[in-house]
Amino acid sequence: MTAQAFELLRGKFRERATVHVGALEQALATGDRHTITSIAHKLHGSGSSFGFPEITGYAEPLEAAAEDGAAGEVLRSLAEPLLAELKRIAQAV
Amino acid sequence: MTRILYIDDEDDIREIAELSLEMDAEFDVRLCASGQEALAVAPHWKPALILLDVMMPQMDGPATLATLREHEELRSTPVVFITARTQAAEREALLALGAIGLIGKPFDPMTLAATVRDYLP
Repeated sequence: MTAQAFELLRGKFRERATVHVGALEQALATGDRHTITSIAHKLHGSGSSFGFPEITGYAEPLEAAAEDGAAGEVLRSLAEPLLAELKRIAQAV
Repeated sequence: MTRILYIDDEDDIREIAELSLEMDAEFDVRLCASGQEALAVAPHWKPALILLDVMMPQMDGPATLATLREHEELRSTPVVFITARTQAAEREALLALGAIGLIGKPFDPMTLAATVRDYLP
């Protein structure tokens, strides 16, 4: 894979970060555990592949907590650094 | 050329997987976005190896594997699960379904092709 191709993919990941922020914030506000789990799982499984290991690192505990039925305030707390990193990545576009 | 079928519902993962796998010039890569799509493609395309995401909507990885095995031409096709599941018990359960191996998500795009090559006979 060329460096250029990889950067193009990273750019697409950055572009989608805003979408993930919106969807995750909405899911946290409404207590939509299924969507929280789905988003966290997706980011856990992809962040590092696109050169964003922090995304993977923040998403993993959120996914685990959501699956374990953690309370909303716990999920919001775990989601904070993930949301912050997604916003940071999105602003870099 | 060695045919590799990659099945994953997430389009960005499919994109990076395709680029990663094509780093091996001998790989002919085809992508499917679902188990259902794979069932339409695989019996005719006859991949040498199938990379199969575990968590997919409608038809998950294990269900896809079981249905693929109903096709005589795919009964012996090696399947490697792609999963973000890290618990040993979960991984053992996936292997017990008949996959020859597991590749963890997130995968390293720079080494995915070599990892897959190691699974080929």
